[in-house]
Amino acid sequence: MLTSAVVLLFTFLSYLVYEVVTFRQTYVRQLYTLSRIISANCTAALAFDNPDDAGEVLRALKAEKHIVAAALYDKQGNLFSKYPQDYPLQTIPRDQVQFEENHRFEKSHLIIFEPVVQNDKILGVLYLKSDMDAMYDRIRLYASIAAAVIAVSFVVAYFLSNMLQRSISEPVHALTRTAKTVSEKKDYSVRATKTGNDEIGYLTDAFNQMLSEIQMQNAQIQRFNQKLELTIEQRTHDLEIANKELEAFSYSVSHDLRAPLRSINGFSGILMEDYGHLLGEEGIQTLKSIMRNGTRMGQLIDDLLAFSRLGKQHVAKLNLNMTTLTKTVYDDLKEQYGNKGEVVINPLPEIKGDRSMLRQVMQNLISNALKYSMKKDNPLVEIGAYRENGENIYYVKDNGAGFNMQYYDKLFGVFQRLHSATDFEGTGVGLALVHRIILKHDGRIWAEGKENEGATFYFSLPVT
Amino acid sequence: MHDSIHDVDILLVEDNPDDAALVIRALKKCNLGNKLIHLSDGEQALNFLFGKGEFSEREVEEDKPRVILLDLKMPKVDGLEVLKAVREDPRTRVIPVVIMTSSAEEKDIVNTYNSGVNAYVVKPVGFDNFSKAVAELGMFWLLVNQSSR
Amino acid sequence: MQILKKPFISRSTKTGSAAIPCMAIVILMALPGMRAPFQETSESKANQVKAVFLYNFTQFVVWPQRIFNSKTSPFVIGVLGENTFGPYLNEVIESEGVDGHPIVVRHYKSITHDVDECQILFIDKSFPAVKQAIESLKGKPVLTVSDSENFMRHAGMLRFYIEGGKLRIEINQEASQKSGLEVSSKLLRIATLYRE
Repeated sequence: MLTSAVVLLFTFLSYLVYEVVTFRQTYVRQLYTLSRIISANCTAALAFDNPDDAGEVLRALKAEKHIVAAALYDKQGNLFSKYPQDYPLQTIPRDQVQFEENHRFEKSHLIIFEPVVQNDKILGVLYLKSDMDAMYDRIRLYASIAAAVIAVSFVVAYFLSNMLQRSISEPVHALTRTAKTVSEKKDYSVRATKTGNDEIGYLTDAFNQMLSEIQMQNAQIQRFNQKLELTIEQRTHDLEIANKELEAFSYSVSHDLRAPLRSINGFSGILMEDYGHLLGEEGIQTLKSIMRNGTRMGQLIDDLLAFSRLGKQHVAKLNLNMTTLTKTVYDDLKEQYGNKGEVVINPLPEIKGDRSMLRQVMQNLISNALKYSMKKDNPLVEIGAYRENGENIYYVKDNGAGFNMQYYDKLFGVFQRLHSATDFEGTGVGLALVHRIILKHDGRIWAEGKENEGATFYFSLPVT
Repeated sequence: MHDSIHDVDILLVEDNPDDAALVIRALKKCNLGNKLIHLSDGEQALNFLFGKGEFSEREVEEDKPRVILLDLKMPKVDGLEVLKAVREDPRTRVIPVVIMTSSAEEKDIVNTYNSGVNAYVVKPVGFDNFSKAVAELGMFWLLVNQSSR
Repeated sequence: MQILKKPFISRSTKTGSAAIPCMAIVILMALPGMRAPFQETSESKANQVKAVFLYNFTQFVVWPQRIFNSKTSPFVIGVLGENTFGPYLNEVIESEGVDGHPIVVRHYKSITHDVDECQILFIDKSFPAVKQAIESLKGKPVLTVSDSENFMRHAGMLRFYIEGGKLRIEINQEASQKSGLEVSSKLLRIATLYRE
């Protein structure tokens, strides 16, 4: 709209300039023609000193309404006659009189000098002064035509753009409304109305197709979700059953396996007590092997039960003074391992956790450390902690047998042992139990070790 | 083994004869098993305690055992039911009951204590420990503890 | 063609007391080829104007081409009778010409046979035989001019007369036509037409 207006305006302006230029040229030409006729008619009047006649000739200019003034000068430049009679003389200064055909524009007037010549003899000069009203009239007319054309163009353009808007903007608006409905109500079942087979029609089609696609995919996702939920439900159910079976299993293990074992041990004991003197040295050693293995099996069953029971055990979190807890644990173990070696317990930060579980952790780690370092000349066990990334990290370090990092991934597995039972006794459940407890506390456990140089076990607990 | 059904100090209710034998031997070793009667299931135990069936000639109120050692897992009537029956009847309510079992199941411990058990003992697997535990048990309930007879 | 130099005019108008004589000079200046005389009377002024007019007639009247023998044949302005122009006429025509023919002035005291060689003949009003002079030139392409009052009655062609202090021209178009002279309509415009 604006563009076309500017173009129109420029067109009219250029035409106007052209018009003014050509009009001026034409007007000058016309005025020359007029002045030549007048001057031709004035020759005799000048030659025969007849200002009256000259005046009569000049008065004929009355018919030309744009002629403001006219004057006739003789050969010496004296004013011979003028029109109108009362026109102030001083506006036609004598020293500006020229005897050559000449014109100039002066303050919106056109001034012409036309020599009066008879048979090649210059008798004087005619001065004509014309206003430019004709031109201004013309410019005004032109401007009003231009204004009218522009106005009409605007009206036409307005109606045209209205029509175009209806055919272009309306479908786009409809599309936008649909898109808005979709995004606000998440309703992918709405469709944009197609209005034509043009580009916007194609766009509408593409948009609708996209909506269908989304709707389809949504349905598919929903189906998947439902299926997934069903699967999860099924799995949960299966797991619950498996858990119950496991519970029953562990119960029966604890009860039913322990009972015969107890009998084996018990009667072996009775045999030893009551009939030991009849068996001889070799018989007694054999009986002792039975009893030792029976005891070991009982330990295995107890550890395994503790481990499996942990799964369903609730973590009762309380504020724990880890230093005190650790010292208590160590005091209990001290008797078992004797006072050999040095044990350093650094101050440990408080943490929220299950007392019996963390006690178990400390007990297992410290007893491990003691167990594996006891065979060294100068056993050293260090227990400490530090703070890192919002976690408390506790460690138990020893200078004992250590382990090969190559087998690191077996370290925390159930019944996995890195040392033979003859070197170090144990069931292979301790670290697995520790691992499980730390996981239940949303912590992490890891270790560093080197064979024959020692091991460090770290576990982190979140500070809440 | 004490053949008389009268003047019983210890009533042992244990379905596993081997376990029973071990308990009895351990008690006898410290001279506590002389007045002991061993029954191998809960039904027999209830009959004995309340003078029914084969024990109908027993004077229930006059002739109470000083302590009941009760296994939990038994055929027909299990230990928990026996315990409940003992605690419900005013005639038997005051008899100390010690649960002796193979398992340390939390559920069992809670249930038995709720039903008024006096002690819960897990039978150790090792012979020495077992003998020691039973001996201490017998000493405590027969010699130290003065029940309201 | 000569144009009087302006300094002369502007200098003479400088003194306010000399305004009126100056005006007189200005009027004379309007006449071509004039030089300001030293002494002037109204009579001599009129004669000056007449001399100029005589010359100007050459511009507004067309003579038949056959009257000239050659390209260089002179254009003759004759003065019959008393020469009232003094030096003015000669001054006016000096170095002027008509269609390339040089202008000469001849003075006649009486009607001689070569009077018809003139192209313009001025007959002074003091000349007694105006009628005879005109008749002697009957049918000849000679423009007769006079300031005599009866001139037109005798079929004279142009007559000077004074009106309102101005020199005016009366014309007898019939007479000029009969002589084969073409008088410009422009001259006719400013002249008074004589009717019998």
